Amino acid sequence: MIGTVMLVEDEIKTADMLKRALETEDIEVLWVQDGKSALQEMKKGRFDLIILDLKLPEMTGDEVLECIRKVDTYVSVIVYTNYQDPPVMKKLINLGVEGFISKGAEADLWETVKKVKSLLDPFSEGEKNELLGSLPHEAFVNPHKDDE
Amino acid sequence: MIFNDKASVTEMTMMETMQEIGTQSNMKQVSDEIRKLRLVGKLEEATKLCIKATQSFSNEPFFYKILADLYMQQKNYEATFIALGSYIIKIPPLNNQCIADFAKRYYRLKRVLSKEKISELVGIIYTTIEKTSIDQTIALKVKDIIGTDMASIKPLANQSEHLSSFISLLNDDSNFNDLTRLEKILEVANKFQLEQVLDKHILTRERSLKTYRVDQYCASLYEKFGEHQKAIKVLTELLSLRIESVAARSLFRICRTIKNYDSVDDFLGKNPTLIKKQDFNILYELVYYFEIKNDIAQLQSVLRTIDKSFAQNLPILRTLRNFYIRFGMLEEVKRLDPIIRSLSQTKSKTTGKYTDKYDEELAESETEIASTVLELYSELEHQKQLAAISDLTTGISHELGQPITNIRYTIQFYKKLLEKNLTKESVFKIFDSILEETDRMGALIKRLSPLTSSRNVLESYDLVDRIKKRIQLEKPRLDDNHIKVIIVPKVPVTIYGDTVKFDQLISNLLLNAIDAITERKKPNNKIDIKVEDGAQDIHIFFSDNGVGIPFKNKNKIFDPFFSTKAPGKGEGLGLFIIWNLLKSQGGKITVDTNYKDGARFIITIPKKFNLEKETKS
Repeated sequence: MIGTVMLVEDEIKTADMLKRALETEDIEVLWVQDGKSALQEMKKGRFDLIILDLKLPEMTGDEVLECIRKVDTYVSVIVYTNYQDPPVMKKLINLGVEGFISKGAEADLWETVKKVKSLLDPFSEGEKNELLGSLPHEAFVNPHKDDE
Repeated sequence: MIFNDKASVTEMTMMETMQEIGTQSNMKQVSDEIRKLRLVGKLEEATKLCIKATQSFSNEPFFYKILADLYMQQKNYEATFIALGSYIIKIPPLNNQCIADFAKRYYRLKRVLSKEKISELVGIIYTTIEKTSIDQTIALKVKDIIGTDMASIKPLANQSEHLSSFISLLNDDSNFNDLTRLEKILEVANKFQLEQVLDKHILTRERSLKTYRVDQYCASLYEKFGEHQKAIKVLTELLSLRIESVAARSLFRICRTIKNYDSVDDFLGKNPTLIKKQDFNILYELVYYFEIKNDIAQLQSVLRTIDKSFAQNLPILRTLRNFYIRFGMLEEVKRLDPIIRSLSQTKSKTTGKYTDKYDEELAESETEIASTVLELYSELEHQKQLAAISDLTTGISHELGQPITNIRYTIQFYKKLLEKNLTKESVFKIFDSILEETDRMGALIKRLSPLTSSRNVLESYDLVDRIKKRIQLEKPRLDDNHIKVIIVPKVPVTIYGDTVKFDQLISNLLLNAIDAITERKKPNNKIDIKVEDGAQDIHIFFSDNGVGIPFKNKNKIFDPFFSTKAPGKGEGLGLFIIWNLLKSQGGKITVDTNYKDGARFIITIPKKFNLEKETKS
């Protein structure tokens, strides 16, 4: 098991496929169908990552994220980007979102799985980028040029 | 020469420059090397290399983080905690990503280790924070992450001293300022230990007027620490001793936070006159209270009291204005605006600044209305043209997006799976699933057809009779749910208009009512339809005793795709279609907000629809 993920998704088929795909990669998935159940399951530090649909019954995704952040400031969150108004997007970014995935014609199951894995693994792309970003620009100049 | 910038070269010796470059490109090499070793399972070698890396790159937190991961993988938890301790020291100030990385690792450890083991090891991190000169903001964030686990840590020497003087100060209100000063120190050092002290000395003690202030302060600490039930306990006990408006307000506020007003209900039951009190602290919270209770009459009465009692107080008036916006009471907003403007001008002339009191309430109400203003704005637009195309297309793209996602996910999942293992059954399952999704797309298009049909055949008809026929058609569903439908009058009411559209209108209203009633799950289900024959217009009062419409949703229910139901249980088009059907016949529909037992819609249709006049306007 490389991590525990909570999937908040009201579409049964979408959730089922995504859950099973993540499980083939040894990722533990807890699936809930609405914001209220998500908040019931939510406990500080319980999940490594949360995949949050934004169009949910009763509570909307941004409201759910607001409550999630009150419980756990640091858990990684991925949301769907489609059909969102700019103000909602802005609110989500302010609340802290680590990644975006697409629904509809651009939906790609295995891309999503890859993204989730990269956020869960310590040597992930994200952290490698962070490491590279911490280096000064000059560090990548070819040392052989020194011979000139 | 690799550097164009000569100055930077002269500042460093050539040797240093070389080393710098060497080490930094090394850093990537080393981390790649560790990664490789880890992936092939050579954990011990990876650990050795990682330790070396922490020494060579001593200012870099990265390798400590990886070291912690490696130790954790090898189940060497003490070493994991030590590595994490070193990691925190290296985190640069304001680096939230590093804090989040620490949090993730700490939480992972909590999931695999027992509570006892965590309490034993967490001291390593606590001592690191307290004994090294670590950045204060980072220290606080780390303390927040290790949270309640800190409760078991033995206090450091100077902390125990503070603790014992704090405990003695809890005994009466006379040294209140000393108490709060000490409290702040203890809270920063270890708030969970502080909470234990409160549990022991405050939570269960008898309330007395001698310690009213101390207890109220401790309740506010409980509130701050998120221990809402404990705060509620202390506050209700204090309030039964004497009613202080600040304590009452705290109780309201906590109940609002936890979305459970039980203790407030209880408190108000014992002190019903509190509602009449002209205290802004309480009035402010009563607004939220009656909103949750969906008690519009009381809500409006509270707003009126605020309006009358604080006519000269600028922050309160601004707060009030925000409430009016929140509840869509635009007339009141308009009335307040000039008063606020003239008040703020005189204030800024005389004092330069208005009083700070109630600024917090103002800020809170301000952030809450930000979205309401947008909604109201779009609602005003709707009055002119409800069929807001953007809403509709957004809704449709979402509604179509879902089945498309499902089809794509299903195909993508099985495509990968079936590369190895293809059976006829599984392929059939996929085909069925995809066909189901296309059905769903087709159903959406069909559902929207009343909006686009251009048929407009006008004739005279008896409206009561047509309603009865619609009821007859829905009889199976009405009977299944034991719903009685009453329609008055029994005599014919004749009207000239489009019968097809009228039928669609009534069907949609009936379905909407049946849904609302079945959702409520209560006995004595009924739908009341009253037709009033006016001089120019016909009015239909269409009531059901279903779940009703929360006050805050009353402006949204006619929006396309606005639904509070689960997917598949209603797409949120019914009332939107009704609105449009009426619009095309020169009629309108409104919600009766005074109706309590369910929902009541008031439908107005002109008796003789003049198509020409309508198209001209």
